[in-house]
Amino acid sequence: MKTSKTGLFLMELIISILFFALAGTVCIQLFAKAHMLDGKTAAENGAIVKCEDFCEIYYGVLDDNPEVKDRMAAMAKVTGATVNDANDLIIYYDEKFNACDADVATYYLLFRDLGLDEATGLYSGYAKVLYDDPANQDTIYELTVSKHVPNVLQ
Amino acid sequence: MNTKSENNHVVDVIFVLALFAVFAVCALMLVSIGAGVYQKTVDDMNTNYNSRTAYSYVAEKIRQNDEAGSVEVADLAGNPALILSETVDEKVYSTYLYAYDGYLRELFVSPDFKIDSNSPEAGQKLIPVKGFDLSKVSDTLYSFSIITEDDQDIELFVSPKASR
Repeated sequence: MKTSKTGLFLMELIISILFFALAGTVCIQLFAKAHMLDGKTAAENGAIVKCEDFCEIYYGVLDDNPEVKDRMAAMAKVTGATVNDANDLIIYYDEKFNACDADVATYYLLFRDLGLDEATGLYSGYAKVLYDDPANQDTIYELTVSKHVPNVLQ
Repeated sequence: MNTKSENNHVVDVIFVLALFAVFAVCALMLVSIGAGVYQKTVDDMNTNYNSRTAYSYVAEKIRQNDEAGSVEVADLAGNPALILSETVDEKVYSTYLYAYDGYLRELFVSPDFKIDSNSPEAGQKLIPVKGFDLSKVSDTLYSFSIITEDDQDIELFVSPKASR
């Protein structure tokens, strides 16, 4: 009689564990998704702030620097970014979006100046933040900036 | 025969108890992982809220007062302050944005208001911050540094459109 009771309890426990395992699997998946979404949100928030900063600086230096090279040099001076051969600005960030060296970076920001569009009279450029990972170079956020400078077209 | 039956019985009970213990430990781990993920999410939400609110507030204030000569960097009784001026009925009113006593504060004053060492206390508390610094990079660009309650250092650049 006692053995039968134990066996019954064992069966009950096994069925409980089965349900628990199923529920646990679903919960772990949800937790993992929440964790990834949280990381993605934090990355997007940081990227938005940095892109907005670079676009504001572009607005700020445009009037005094009609040439792309001069503009990029002025922006580099303010931000601490480096200018590459293609006249793009590059700056590397760690996971908390503090500027850092390339070898320890989690993200990097690229700012490209597209110059003056003769048809519209607008100067434009874009800033984008990407993952600094050879396996994942997705763009986290991209912001385009354009400004009309009066009397620039002859 | 009796001994064998008794041994089986003991092993059965121990096995069931061990299984129950594993079940309990797994349940505890699951709850603990859930709590950890929730805690991290809440912390990140707070960090994002604090940084974005402080950042957006300063930027929007400048946008609201984007008129030639209305944005100025100075200090309020020794605290670095952003001064935004607006003219109402031919009187120039000033809004001071500064950090004092652990808060980003805003003080709106009439032209008759006399600034003294107690003035910073009069400002309305906006959001807890550990530091607020600002500088004029050029005629067309202002730089702000806000250190939030959770030690996040945010750098903000704003280029007023009417700066020239």
